[in-house]
Amino acid sequence: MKKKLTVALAGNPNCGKSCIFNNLTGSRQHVGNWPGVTVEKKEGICKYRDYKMLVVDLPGTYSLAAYSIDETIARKFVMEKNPDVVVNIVDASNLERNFYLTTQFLEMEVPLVLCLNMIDRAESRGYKIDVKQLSEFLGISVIPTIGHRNQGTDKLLEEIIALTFHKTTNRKTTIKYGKEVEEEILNLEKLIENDDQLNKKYPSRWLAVKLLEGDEEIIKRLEKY
Amino acid sequence: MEANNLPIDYSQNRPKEYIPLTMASPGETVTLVSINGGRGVKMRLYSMGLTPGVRLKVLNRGAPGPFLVAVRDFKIALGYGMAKKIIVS
Repeated sequence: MKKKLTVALAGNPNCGKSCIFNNLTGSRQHVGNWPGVTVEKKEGICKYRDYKMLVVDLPGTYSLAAYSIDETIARKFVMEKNPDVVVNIVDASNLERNFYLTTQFLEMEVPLVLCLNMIDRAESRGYKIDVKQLSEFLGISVIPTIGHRNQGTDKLLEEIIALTFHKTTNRKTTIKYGKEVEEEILNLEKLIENDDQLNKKYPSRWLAVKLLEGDEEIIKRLEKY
Repeated sequence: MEANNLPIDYSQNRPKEYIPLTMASPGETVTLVSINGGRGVKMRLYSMGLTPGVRLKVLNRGAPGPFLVAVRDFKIALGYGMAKKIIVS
């Protein structure tokens, strides 16, 4: 009897998500080279050791706001279906832009693994990435991979399993927004924590930040409070 | 007419203020001021890294074709309609 888990793959368009998906599930998928090729939810099964994983390839997004259908799909899945692990695949040669999405996942406080993909491309551009330091800085595990050569896949699987079943200590990293904004966040957090229903469903800091951003979907959901 | 093979310099006849990206010259580096659009366009461009204050280098002036722009540590292709909404200086 295999142990079951659900894994979500998320990342920018063109970060090599489909490739990693293929490596994990062994299915033949079309890898396109224009943004937004993954518009529908793709699912596959990965059998590794005595584990059976349902791998869900979320649409490629640059962020998790609620302004496009792709982002809405990605965010809803993570918030409502509660996958055991979210693998944030980033293009190592394009970190600044890719990390914006990472910060959103960090704020959502979901079980997160960073898949540092395309490290061959980063190296050919002359980038040297200190994986250990990056991992400490973000507070999550960072696994370098080269998707198109199927390198790093096993390490990624091991990390996914470790995070799900062996509860490795996941340090919470927060992004500070400056004094004035932080004050408002604290005020909102206090209000949120007073309400029991809200408190259990979503991380209070994330809710506070979303409200301050004017996130339409969150505002709609919280109208009754 | 580019008779002498010199690229047209669009900067001569324009005010030194805010212009849409479509009026920038090829090879020119400008600073993004604002996005002239609704929330959807703004959020899309912001989340891709095109935020106020960022420097853009025009690599290829589209029209026809996409505008190729170098920003931060990557390049991006923008359609004319999108580029027109990006206000730079």
